[in-house]
Amino acid sequence: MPELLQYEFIRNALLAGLLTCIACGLIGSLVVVNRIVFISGGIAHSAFGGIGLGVYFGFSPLIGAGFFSILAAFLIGIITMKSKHRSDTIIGVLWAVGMAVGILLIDLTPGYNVDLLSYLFGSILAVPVSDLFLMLMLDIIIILCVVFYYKDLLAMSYDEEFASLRGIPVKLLYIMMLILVALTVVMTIRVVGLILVIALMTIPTYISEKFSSSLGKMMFWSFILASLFTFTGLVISYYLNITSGASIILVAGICFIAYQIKIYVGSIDHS
Amino acid sequence: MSDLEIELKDVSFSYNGEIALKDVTFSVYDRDFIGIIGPNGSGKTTLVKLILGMIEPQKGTVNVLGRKPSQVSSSIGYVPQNTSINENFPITVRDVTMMGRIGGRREGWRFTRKDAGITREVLRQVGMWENRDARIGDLSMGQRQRVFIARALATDPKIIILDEPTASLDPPGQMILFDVLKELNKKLTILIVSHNINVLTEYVNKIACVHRELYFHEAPHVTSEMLRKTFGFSLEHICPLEEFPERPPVDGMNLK
Repeated sequence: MPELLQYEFIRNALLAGLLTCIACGLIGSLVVVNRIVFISGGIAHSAFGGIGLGVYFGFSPLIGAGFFSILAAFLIGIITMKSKHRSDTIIGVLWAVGMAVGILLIDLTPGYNVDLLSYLFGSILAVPVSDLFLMLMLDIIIILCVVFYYKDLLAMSYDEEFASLRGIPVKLLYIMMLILVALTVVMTIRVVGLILVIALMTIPTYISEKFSSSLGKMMFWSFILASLFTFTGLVISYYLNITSGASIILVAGICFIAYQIKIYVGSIDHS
Repeated sequence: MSDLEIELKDVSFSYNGEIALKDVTFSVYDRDFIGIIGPNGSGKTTLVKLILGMIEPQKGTVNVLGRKPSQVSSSIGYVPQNTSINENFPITVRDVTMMGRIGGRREGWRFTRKDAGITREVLRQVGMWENRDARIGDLSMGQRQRVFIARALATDPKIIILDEPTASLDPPGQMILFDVLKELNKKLTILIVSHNINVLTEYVNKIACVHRELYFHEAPHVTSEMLRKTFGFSLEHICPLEEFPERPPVDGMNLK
């Protein structure tokens, strides 16, 4: 293990993992308690359109992804408010169209040599230092928003009707939350890729929700668990020479299943 | 005569042509304890929404504390019918109650010492301070109901409105709830929507029967005339009616 840390790319990978897990812990918790996992999936996948745009026009694909996912967050936010009952269908459409646009644009790019898989499944071992700074900035934005609006976010997530009776601008807050989801997605694409974003946002939070007595504690423990999964997955992927993103998610998935079994066995013991 | 707090004059409301309330005139005075009864779909919830300012009447006027309801919504504490929303949500009794402190003017990003003090105070009033660190989902229905009353009290209201608070409570739970409300009634005006006539009549001082129209009774009794109009039949065999004072009330009887 210590010899791993000699390599700069491993140190960068660990740092990138840590920075991403901060965002995943905070925003993933909001995603789970607000039951917007599907919406977040839509935002993540439509980001692929932005990656294609970046590749085609020759600017940073992550900036394209950021632009597309924030746009998707806006659209989905407005659509969910206007037509609650059909919003899932529309999210599904955005999800697929975003992916299709991305793939077409990459197809059309002359001299295509983009590593498509790195965006779909992550490339944590190839994170440049400039990306680390970007991640740090996004983390700071996310932390500030969550800390500053914590009690309003809590009230909205728990009881939207009451929150709006108390004068909280629930709609604006909801859109803000979706934009924070979009920012988290952009960060996480580097680490586990957009296909696996949702797993890193939801598995640690789902487990920590069970034993946390407050949203804040849930956020903290989600961060700890997400970091644990990321580091373990990373080390395993290094020694077995397998894709790091998939390895991280599998570690999380195995813990998820183990935890479910533990709860199930516990409930049998009690009855 | 004490102060007039809620006044509805000739109020009518219909949903897509379907009349929910018709020509309702209704006055509530300071420290009234009013039971609002009526069958399902009779317009009880519409009445509550009008008073809360969530909807506007198509005809007539609604006045709360001398103003339009939407301007004084912070003076009304509302306890919703469904308190089992988000049962698995990681939130403590104290945090739920503290939510009532949101929405003050010049509000900061954190709760103040004063907010914490008020939260402690109202949780003591409903007898839930001991459970302050419990997760809301771990409480019984009755306990959760009292936490939601505490949350309404934390908003520092003049009036509190409870929508079907007894619907999911067992008789002992209902007794505790009404004892808490009786104590609160010394300072506050209370409106309570319920199916449960028997428990109501023991505690409230006035009763309103709603069935599109509203029949008001300035005493905690339901007349057979009111029942016939609201429920379509007479219930003297199970209700403590004026005409049958010798019949004892049946505990926990629900009129659905």
